[in-house]
Amino acid sequence: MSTIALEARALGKKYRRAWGLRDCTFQLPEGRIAALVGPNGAGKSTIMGLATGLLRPTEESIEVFGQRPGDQGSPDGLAFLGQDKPLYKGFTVAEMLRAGRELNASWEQEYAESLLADARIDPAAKIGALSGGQRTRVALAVALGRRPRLLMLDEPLADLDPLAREDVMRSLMAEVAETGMTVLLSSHVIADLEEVCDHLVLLIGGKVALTGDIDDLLAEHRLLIGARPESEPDFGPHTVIQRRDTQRQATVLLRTTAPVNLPDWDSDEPNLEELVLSYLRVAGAQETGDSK
Amino acid sequence: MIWLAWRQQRPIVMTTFGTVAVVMAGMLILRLTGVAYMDEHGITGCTVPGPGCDGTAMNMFAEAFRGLWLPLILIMFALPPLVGAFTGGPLFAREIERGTHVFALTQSVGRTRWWAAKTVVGLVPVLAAMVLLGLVASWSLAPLAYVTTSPIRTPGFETQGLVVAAYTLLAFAIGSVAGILLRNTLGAMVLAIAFYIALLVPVGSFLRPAYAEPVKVTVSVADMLEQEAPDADGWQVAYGYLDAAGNEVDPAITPDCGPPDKCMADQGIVALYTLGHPATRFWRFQLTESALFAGIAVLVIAAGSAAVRRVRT
Repeated sequence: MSTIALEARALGKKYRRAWGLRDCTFQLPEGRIAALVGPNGAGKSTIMGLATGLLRPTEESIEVFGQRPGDQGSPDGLAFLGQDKPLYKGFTVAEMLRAGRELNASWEQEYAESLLADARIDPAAKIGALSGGQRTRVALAVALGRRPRLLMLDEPLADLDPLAREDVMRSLMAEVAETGMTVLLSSHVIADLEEVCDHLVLLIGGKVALTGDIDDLLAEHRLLIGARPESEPDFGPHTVIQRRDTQRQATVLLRTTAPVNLPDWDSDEPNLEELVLSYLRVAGAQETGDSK
Repeated sequence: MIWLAWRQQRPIVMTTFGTVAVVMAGMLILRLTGVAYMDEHGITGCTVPGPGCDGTAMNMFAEAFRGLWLPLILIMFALPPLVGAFTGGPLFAREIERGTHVFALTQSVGRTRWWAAKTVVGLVPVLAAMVLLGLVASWSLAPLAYVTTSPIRTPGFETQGLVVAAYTLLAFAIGSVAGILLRNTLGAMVLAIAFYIALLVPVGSFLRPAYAEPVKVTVSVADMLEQEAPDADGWQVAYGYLDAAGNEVDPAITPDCGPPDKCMADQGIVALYTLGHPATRFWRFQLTESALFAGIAVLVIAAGSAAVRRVRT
C-alpha cells in the first residue's frame, strides 16, 4: 500500500457562526497531483489551514504523513503557499530567502537560489517591486527550499495573467517531475487543473462530494445525451447524479461501474469539467430546494 | 528567528533611535545653556530662593527658560506612549493585516517562539533607548529644578528618570497584545495610547501620593507669615489649620475677616500643617511607579502569550 500524504477523517471545523467543514473524509496518496476543487466558501482554505496547524479542528482529525499538525509550524514534509502569497514587502528577494532559511530547520539554500535564477529574478530586487508572477515564483522558491514531500498551494494562480499562469504552472510541474513530491492545489477554475492533476477532492458546502484518482472517477461516470424524454426514463441499475433538460435535449450524468446499454442515448465518458460541473449543479439545485 | 524579527523591526527601531537622539540633544542643550545662565547671573546651584539665591534672579531665570523647557517637557510626556504604540501596535497587527503571519507560522518555528522573539527584539532596543533618555533628562533637568518645579511633582516626575521607560514598556505591551486580538494596526495603537492615559491620570492623582506615608510639617501662624513655605521643592499633597489643642479647624475666611493674622487668631488657629513628600523621595517614587507599570506590562504580555496560540489565518 502506498503512503498517505494527507488524510482527513470525519474532519470538522466550526467557525463562530457556521461549520466551514463537516464530516470530511478523504485520503491523498503520496505522489499524486491533486486538485482541491469547490466553489468559494466550500472549505478549501479551511482544509489547508487545518493541515498546516494554523487552524485547529473542531471534530476528528487531519494527518500529514501520519502527524497531527500542532503549534510548532507546519508538520515535517509539508510546505504551504498561502492565498495571496504572503511575503514581506519591504524585504529584498535574498532577504526573503534568508527568512525561509532562518525559519526552517532543514533548508536548501542552493536549490532555492537556483529556482530564483531559473525565474531570472534579481536577488537584490525588493519584493514590493515584483510582478504578481515573479512574486509567485519567489513564494514558490521559499516553499520549495523546505524540500517538502507535500506541497499545498491555495489558489496559486488566482491573481495572475494567463502568461504568468502558464509560467508558474510549468516551473511548478518541472519541480514536481524532478522530485516526485505530492501536490495539493486548490482552485475554483477547473480549467487550470485539468491538464496537470491526476487526483480530485471536490468540496461542496464543507463536505467531500467526490474524491479519487481522476481516471477512475471519469471511468465510473457516463454522460448521456439524448432527445428530451416524454416520460420518466428508466436508467436501470445506474445511479442518476444529475439530469438537465433543455427544450429538445436532455443531458444525464450517471454513476455506474457496469456497462451502459441504453439505445435512446449517446453515452460517453465525461471530462473533468463536465463531471465537476454536474456535481456542483446538483448541490446548487439542492440548495435552492432546501431554501424553498 | 532573531534575524527575521530584527529585520522586520529595524525601520521603526531606527526611527525611534533618531527621535530619542534629537530629544536627548535638546535636553543636553537645555542643561548647558541653563547652567551657563545661572553662572552668569550668580545663582549657580540654586534650586529655591534663599540665602545666596536671589529670588528676583531666580524668577527671571525661570521666565527665560520656560520657552525652552515647556516644549521639551511636552515631548517627554508624549514620547513614551507614542514610541510604545508605534513599536508595539504594528508588531503583530501589521503581519496579520498583510497575512505574512501565515508565512511565518507555516515554517518550522513554533508560534510561541515566533511571538517571544518578535516581542523581545521589538522591545529591548527601544526600552534601552528610553532608559537612557530618562536618565539624560534627569541629569539635564537637575540644575533647572526651579524652572521645572520639583522633580517629584507633575510634570517633572513623569518626564524623567526610569518611569519614561516603564510607561513605554506598558504602551508597547498593550499595543502588541491588542494587535494580536484586534488584528488591526491603527486600533492597537489607539488602544495603547488610550490605556496609557487612562492609567497614568488616576495613578498620578491617587496612587502616587500614597507610595509612602507623607511627611507632616507644622508651622505656627507667627512663623508662617515671616518665612517661606516649608520644603518648597517637595510635593505638598494636603494642608490644613490647627487650633491650640492640635485639632483641625475649617477656617471661614470672609472679606470682612480683617488682616490674616487677626482673622486666624479670631478662629483659634495657631498653626498650619502640610502633608507632603520631600524631593529626596524622587528615586524611591520612580522605582515604585516603574515597578507598578512594568508589573502591569508583564501581565499584559503574559496575556499575549495566550492570545498568540489562538491566532488563525
